[in-house]
Amino acid sequence: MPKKKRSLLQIPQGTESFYLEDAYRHRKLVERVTERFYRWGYLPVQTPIVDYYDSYRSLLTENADRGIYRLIDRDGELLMLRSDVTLFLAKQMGMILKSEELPVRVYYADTILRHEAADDISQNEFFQAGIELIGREELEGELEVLCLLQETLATLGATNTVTHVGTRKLTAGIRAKLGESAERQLVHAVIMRREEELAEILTDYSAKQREAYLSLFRYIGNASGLRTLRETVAQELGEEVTSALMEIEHVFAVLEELNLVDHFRVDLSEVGNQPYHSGMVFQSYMHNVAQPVASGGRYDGLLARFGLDAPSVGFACMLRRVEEQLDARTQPSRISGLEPFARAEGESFAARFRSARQAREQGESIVL
Amino acid sequence: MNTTPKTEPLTMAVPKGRLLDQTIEFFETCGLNFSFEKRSLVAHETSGLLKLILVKNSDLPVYVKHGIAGMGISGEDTLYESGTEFYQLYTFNFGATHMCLCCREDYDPSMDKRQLAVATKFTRFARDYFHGQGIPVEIIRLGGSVELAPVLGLAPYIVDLVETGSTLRANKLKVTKTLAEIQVRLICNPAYYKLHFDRINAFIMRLQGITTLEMPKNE
Repeated sequence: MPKKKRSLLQIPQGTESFYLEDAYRHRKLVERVTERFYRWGYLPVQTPIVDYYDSYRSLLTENADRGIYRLIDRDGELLMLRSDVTLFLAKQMGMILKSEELPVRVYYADTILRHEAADDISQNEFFQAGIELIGREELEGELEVLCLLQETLATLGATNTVTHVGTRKLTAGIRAKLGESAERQLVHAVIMRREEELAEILTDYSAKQREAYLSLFRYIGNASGLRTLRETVAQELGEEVTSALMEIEHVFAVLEELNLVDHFRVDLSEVGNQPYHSGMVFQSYMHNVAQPVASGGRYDGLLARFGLDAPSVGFACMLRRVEEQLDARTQPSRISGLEPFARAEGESFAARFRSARQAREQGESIVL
Repeated sequence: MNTTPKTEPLTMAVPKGRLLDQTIEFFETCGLNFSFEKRSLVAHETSGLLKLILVKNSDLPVYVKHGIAGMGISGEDTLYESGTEFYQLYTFNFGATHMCLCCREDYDPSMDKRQLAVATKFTRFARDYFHGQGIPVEIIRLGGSVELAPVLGLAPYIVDLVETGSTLRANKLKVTKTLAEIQVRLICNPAYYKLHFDRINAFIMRLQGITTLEMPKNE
């Protein structure tokens, strides 16, 4: 195939364009979501589409690093296109915020670009809408973010979702004992539920401690089951793990009080797939979607990398993944067909203009 | 994913061919029986717990990754080549084989060039294996009948699955080294597992022979 032809017929992997009805629906959903964020006191931020790669190099997982589009500017500096809003936002906020301004609530809704294999359409990560709550250390930060996440999904009409909540704190003690490299391996094994690999990484622990960790990492269920499990492992795994589990129990108790608990599950294999995760983490799953539709958590050390030592918690919703699954009845009213609008009446342009202006004042959409 | 909550059966992709026969036979020992419609690529477990989707072996990881089937049965060779990570929930006691480096019976290793030349269907595995050993390697991708490569002089070595060795012997080839044991695994799309974990766990317990109780339908 001639080169020019191919460049006309396709766009680079990891990007997308969508038109007319799809674009209209997308914009309406973005409006709904960002309006919801604003009602919770969050203000918008706009991150740059491109930034210096060196600023983020140490914060990228191997996988994330592979998916980044890089380019070189005219001074020879290596740049990266925005592949994750959270990172770019952390740098911006870290540089401009002052600790006396905290807490600060911000939201974003923007495109991201990640390379995908030519035959891989499953990621569908082209647009993130999310929030960051900066400067809240207490569990109320997690609670606010989880409740807003649930309300966001409901606002989108994504009712058949469930959010799995875990904590990165479970691996902190392991990092202290075995080092960062072992923790990275462990996090991957926990996320992929590989018990044999986990047992191997934990060989320096006693058989009882190892089994206690394994029983934690395989646990998915409710808060009362977690309480029973905590009591069983408390003696083996000590104060740090026990208090991390009690934090989750506390959060679930409040969610229950708010009648929201049915939308959440305790899942201790959710330990966060980003190197900067530091506390409670979560991912939302939706029926008929092969990837999580939202993810987030606490990352208290991230902003400090950019100059502001402030705790932070937030989430990002992969809006395009959700959109494709929404029930038509829950979608915003949309145009249909190529000629969806009424036509203004009148023989002359001026007559049609006047009648259209009148109709628009009544809230109608009309073409001349 | 092609499932809806609560009432729909769990979905599983199974490769057509011998592995399908072995799978059905094994499932029958667990009390799971399937009805096949003539020429259909879908089979239903008679009590409605499981729906099988019959696919080409090499396409199976694609179906599970995209959630068309929530689970799948696949050899580790196919999984490795797909480059996708799945939950691996169970190892079956059938279908095991070996990934081997083979050459002609009369090949003299002193004829090896500085860079090893290997013909294979399993290019990702072969490259990663030799690079992991610090050995530079030239990979020649073939789609099938890999045994011909050393016979016709395309490459001195092949990397291929060896079960009984009869195909190798028929082509006057021998195993130089066993590179890996290959097992047949039950895989699962991680998001599908999260949505159906209790039914899937009950299903696995049934495979393990821990329980024959009816699997819960709600999560």
